[in-house]
Amino acid sequence: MITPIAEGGENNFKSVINNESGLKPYNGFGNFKEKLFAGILQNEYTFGNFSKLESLMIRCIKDSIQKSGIELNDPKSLLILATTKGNIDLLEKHKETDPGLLITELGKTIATYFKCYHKPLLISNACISGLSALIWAQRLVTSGKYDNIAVVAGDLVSEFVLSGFHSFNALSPVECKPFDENRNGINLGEAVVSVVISMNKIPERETQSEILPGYGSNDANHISGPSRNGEGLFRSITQTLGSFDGIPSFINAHGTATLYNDEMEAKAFTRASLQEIPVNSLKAYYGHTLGASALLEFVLSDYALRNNTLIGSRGYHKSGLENPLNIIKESKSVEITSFLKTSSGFGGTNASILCRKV
Amino acid sequence: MNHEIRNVKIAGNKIYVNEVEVFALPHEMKGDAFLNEAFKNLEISYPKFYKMDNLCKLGFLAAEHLFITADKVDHRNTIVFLSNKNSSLQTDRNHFEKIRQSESYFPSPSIFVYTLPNIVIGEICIRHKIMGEGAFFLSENHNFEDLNDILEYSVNHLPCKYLLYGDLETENSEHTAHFRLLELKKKHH
Repeated sequence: MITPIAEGGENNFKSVINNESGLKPYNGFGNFKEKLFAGILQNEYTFGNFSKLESLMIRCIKDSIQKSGIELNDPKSLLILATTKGNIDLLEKHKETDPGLLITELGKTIATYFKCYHKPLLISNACISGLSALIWAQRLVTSGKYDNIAVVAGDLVSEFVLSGFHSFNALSPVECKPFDENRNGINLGEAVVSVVISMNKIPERETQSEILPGYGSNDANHISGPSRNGEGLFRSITQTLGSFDGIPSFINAHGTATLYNDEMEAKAFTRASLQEIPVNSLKAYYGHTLGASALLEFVLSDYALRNNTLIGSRGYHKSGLENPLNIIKESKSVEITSFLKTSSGFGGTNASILCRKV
Repeated sequence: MNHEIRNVKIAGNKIYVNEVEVFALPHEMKGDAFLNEAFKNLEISYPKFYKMDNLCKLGFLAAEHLFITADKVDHRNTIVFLSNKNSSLQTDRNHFEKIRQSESYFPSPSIFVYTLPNIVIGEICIRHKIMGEGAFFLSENHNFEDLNDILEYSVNHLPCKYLLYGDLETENSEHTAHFRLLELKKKHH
């Protein structure tokens, strides 16, 4: 993974448990002239003729397939790519007719680079894109269709997205405070994450993680506002926990730090009788990295699982929820056996997935 | 066996339900006119339709024809998987127009919200109270061919009774959609 904090999963995990954040104040971003707090990559990372996002995705995928020793030109391998806006920054870079604006072209560019045997599966499902990709990777690997699936998720900070969230009054001018009583909006961030989901165990790893089936559910309520009763998220969690005989050691929530999202999640967790379970949001470390967020947070939660560490929910001080949750205030070592990852987004879309040690 | 309840095709200013033409406009009527006329023809009251972008209007119309007589469908148990090639590009360009000049910088939240392709799934779910899983995929072929893995898995393994899947595109004032509604009969559900 490449984030404003560090490069590589291990480095990101270490930084996060040391309470380091990649969020910083900025006086503006291109034509976006408002003060903002955001997680912006300090290096360009571009190489060859590739765009910034393409370069980042190639770098991340390369790293994860090298580490896992898989080949994408194998008929039993697949690439899944998740993004909300892909190369949308090309609009701002005066490349309005660049075919790379299309996610289908972005997919082709990455697939050509890695000589993928199959066309990549491309998902754009608002803020849960990365989780949708992971859910499909789990399904297509456990059904025997593929032995290995590389999942990449990424989104950039752009004038396009900043201006849009600003028009919604959703941006916080200070570091975001998920689940806190003083939370007042999101910070945007950029990140690219890649992970390989495999049928096979990782030989050099003492502790293996198993991803269990995840499910999605729509709120059928509003295209941009979170459901008041958390219906979709509640249904998704109920279905995901349905065939699980334990209780998750912690929940890694979406926790965007908007008033309504965090309340919606608290409501859904309470309805699912999960209000006592330790919960965190990683948004105050990275901001909301849109299509990358759920995959980024899943991977860090997997490090937390294998290292028996609860990651502190940065930015949280005092409960500001009608349905109080057991928010993890500081990172600490405890025995962890499993975790639940949830995500919700525009379009009323919700999903959740479970991961456990085996 | 899985059973196709019905399919809806929209192309060339015409709407077909199970291959039978149910609505047509002269081909010269371009752009929004077709979508709005097709909506009026449904004779339903749904003011939200006029707030939608073209992709959502198109998806709304296709879904409306798909569900018109499908009363027995358990909407809580319906999954919606849609795809297209261009994502929300048309609305993306509209939003970008609003912010390109710093002196006339004025983004509109009602445009911005449609700059995600999966919003059409949200609109369909709101209209028909569908609470199953939803996902939007990108694919160059407009016939769901690239998404065979998704279909095959859904039909065989996903715990749902109905599957709405299809492709929709609005490009250069041409609106094309092909939606199908399947009833799934599973071995283990």
